[in-house]
Amino acid sequence: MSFSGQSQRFSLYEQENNLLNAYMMQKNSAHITDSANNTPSHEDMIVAIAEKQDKDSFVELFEYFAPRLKSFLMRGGTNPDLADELAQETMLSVWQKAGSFNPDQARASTWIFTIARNKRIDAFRKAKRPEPDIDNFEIEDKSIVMPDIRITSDEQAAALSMALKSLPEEQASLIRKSYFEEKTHMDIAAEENIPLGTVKSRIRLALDKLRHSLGGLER
Amino acid sequence: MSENAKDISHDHLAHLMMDYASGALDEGFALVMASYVSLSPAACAQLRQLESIGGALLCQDCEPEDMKEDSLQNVMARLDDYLEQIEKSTAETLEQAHMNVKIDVDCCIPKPITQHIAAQMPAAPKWSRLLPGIEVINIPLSKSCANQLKLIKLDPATTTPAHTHRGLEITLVLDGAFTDETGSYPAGSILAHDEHVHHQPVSCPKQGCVCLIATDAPLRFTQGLMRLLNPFLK
Repeated sequence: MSFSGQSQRFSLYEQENNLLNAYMMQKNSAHITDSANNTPSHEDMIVAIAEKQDKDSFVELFEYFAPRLKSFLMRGGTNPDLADELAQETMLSVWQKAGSFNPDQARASTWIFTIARNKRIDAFRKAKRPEPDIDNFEIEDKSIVMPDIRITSDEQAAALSMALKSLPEEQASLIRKSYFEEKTHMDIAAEENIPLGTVKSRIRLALDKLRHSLGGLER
Repeated sequence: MSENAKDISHDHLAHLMMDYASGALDEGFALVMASYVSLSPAACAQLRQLESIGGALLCQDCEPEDMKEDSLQNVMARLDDYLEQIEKSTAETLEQAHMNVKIDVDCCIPKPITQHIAAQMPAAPKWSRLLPGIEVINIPLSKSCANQLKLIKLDPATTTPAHTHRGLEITLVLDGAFTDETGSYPAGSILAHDEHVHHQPVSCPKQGCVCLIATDAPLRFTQGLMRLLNPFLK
């Protein structure tokens, strides 16, 4: 009896230990996956939507981007209800247009920003935003070197993000006003009562820093 | 282009491109920028860079706002909705409609313009004569837009009336070339002139010139009888 009891206890302990081991292994492997960057990126998720209508990826994207889109739109003065609606519409377009997303050309966040921007224009101006047609460059001058238009690597995104954070407030606030509130530089000058030349030179300084952070792109 | 006019034009264009990327630009100017980006890989690169700033701001500067409880559900329910199929087929019709837009010129009109014309102009656009050797198509814009947009076709060696600008004038050369006091502009050139530039464009003696021009205020003629028109330009 005592032997078997011992053995039972042992096996319980063993079980627990195994569970713990399994848990640790899972945790480690998750950690390894993370550090090897094998967890799907936002870009991968959009591709998964395009290729296999992957709803799990969509839910993940929605949970990350929709609240940020709502916030982005509200900062531009859109009321919360409409901002919610436009964020939903934007995410719906992410689903529908996933096939046209090219991860070699843009980051997910940039692509989604452009969709939200266009939704806002369509909603408020009752006019379609004119989009360029970049698939058929007509200029045949071969002396024009096709610049590298991709801002896609994690390093570049991190560098841009750092550069944005380190801008002096007088420059950062103008950049935010441009993008969040869709104000032209002329509108901003009038509204802030700053001379247009000052607005422009601050923005130019900011853009120079941001471009510099992207390195290699300005050749 | 004289250095000064060149710098000013370049400066205007850099800011116009950012306003286009942020979404702030009015329709007329936006259509010219969209056309320019369609013609120039370098302009496309510039636009992409500026849009990536928007993407970065979205991720790092926007403190998440809770969505309504049923928002995700709503969207999920609509993913496979037939309405979307209808929207898609409308988009496809528009895609085809722009290919049927025929404008009597020897050059390609950029797709953003033919798409806009397909959506906004029910009848085929026709050139109307403005002055000898100068023909124009006015392109209608939405009511909220304060810009004016037109295609202009100059016969070879046509001299246009001397003028200056009350606001900004963006010109994209689509075919041929023109020359003015500030320089010579072949197809693919873009320039932004403001009230500091007085000029009198002359078209290329061989090919003439086709341009897409957006303005946010009327021109002011500076010479001869044309000046009499100024009070009527609004």
